[in-house]
Amino acid sequence: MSDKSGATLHLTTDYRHTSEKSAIQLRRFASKGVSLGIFLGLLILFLLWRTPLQNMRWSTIPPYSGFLLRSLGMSWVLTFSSFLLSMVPAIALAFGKLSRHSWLRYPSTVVIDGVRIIPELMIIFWIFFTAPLVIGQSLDKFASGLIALSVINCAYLTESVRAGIQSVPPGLTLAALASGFTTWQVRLWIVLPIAFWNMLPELRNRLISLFKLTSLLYIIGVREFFGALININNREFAPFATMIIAGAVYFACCYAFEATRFFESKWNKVS
Amino acid sequence: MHYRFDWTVVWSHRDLLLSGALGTIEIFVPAALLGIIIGILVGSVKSSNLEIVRDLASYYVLTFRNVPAVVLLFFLYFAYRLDPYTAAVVGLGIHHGAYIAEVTQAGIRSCTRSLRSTALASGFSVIGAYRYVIIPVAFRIMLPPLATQMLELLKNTAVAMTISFAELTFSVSIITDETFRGFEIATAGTVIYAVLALILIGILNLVETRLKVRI
Repeated sequence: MSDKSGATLHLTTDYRHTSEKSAIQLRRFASKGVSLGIFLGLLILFLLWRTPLQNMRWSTIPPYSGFLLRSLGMSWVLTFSSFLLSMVPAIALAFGKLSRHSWLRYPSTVVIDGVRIIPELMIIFWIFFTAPLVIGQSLDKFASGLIALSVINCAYLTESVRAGIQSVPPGLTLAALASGFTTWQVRLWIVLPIAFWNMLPELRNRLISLFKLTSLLYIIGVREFFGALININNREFAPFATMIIAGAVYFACCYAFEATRFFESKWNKVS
Repeated sequence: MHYRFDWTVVWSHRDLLLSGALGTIEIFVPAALLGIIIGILVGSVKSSNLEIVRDLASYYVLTFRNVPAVVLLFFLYFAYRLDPYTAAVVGLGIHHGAYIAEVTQAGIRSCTRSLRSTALASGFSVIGAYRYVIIPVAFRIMLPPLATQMLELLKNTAVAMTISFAELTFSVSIITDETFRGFEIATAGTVIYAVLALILIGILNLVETRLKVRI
């Protein structure tokens, strides 16, 4: 949300000379560079504070690069598949939460808030360790990780979907009903597509959080990126190198995903 | 279903569960304070006139928002060689500080620019204006999203078990390994987490009603 003064600035004509303008731009660019430099310097200082340079053992990592790439792919597969898995129940729960009937509204609220209040690690434990005890059949690591991620994501996604549905103007629903659509047709063909466009930034945030969340699955032994790095660390003992790589790769992936918002604004202009 | 429930195991391991809950609180309170302090500092700096300082703050938020807490904790524990407790508190404080900075920034942005100008015009220094005028107004606005962040932090304390700090999830997994009564113990742990969260929500509601300006 830009402040109002910024909006009016656009309307007034800039009478400054072109060379002056480019000087301002240059100064802005330089200050960005300086601040980035200062930040990176501080970050490196923070990282190297306690670790002598010869103890980093960077050379232990390259032999594992194929393994690391495969496990990074695994992280992405887990992220996207659990996101898709949780989409349908999230939409159903969101409609349940917005329902007029209390017998639908209360249970879905309780389920969502229940999942949201429990730590993610606890849910992973629930599904990996305790579900087999009750079902009487052990679950595969990958499957239980996928289910845990889907359950967690479903709870958060429901809130986003609910907000998206509520952002659709009620007049639109009434108009669609008046022109002869049934309630379910209105929900499916009118409300959901519009809600989806309004939800896009929120969906992107969910996907980023989900990607970060996959790092916790190492605890049940899923071969995702962080788990792979932990394995390498256990074998080679290079905590500095492995954790720096973990931080850098998670940052790069999340940032790349955040950068898709530029495309998003383009799509919105087209539609 | 051939599983026979045996709830006595919860009662017989009550001291381990309670010490786990205490460990969770022990991490939560200092990490929350650290997170709020970092968040308010960084968030207020983000509304500064100096572009370099503003950029530094946004780089901080960008970096620590996009790195999972578990990576930060592992780094502090294994590479930095802090003890588990300090690593958990500092790591969670830094991680959530970035989120709280965003909340603070939104709060400051929602009180108008003229508030700052008025405060400066009536003779406050910049720091004084933030300390006595802007932050008190913004803090009341940002309390609900701050409460959400506090709940997130409470949940994230479970990550401290990965660096072997004895908190609630750690106790739950230890008792499960000992007794193979995963279902009962996990239920007990979940209930304790829910109770802690409800207490936290109660406290935050109390703070909100206490701070509310009555006209």
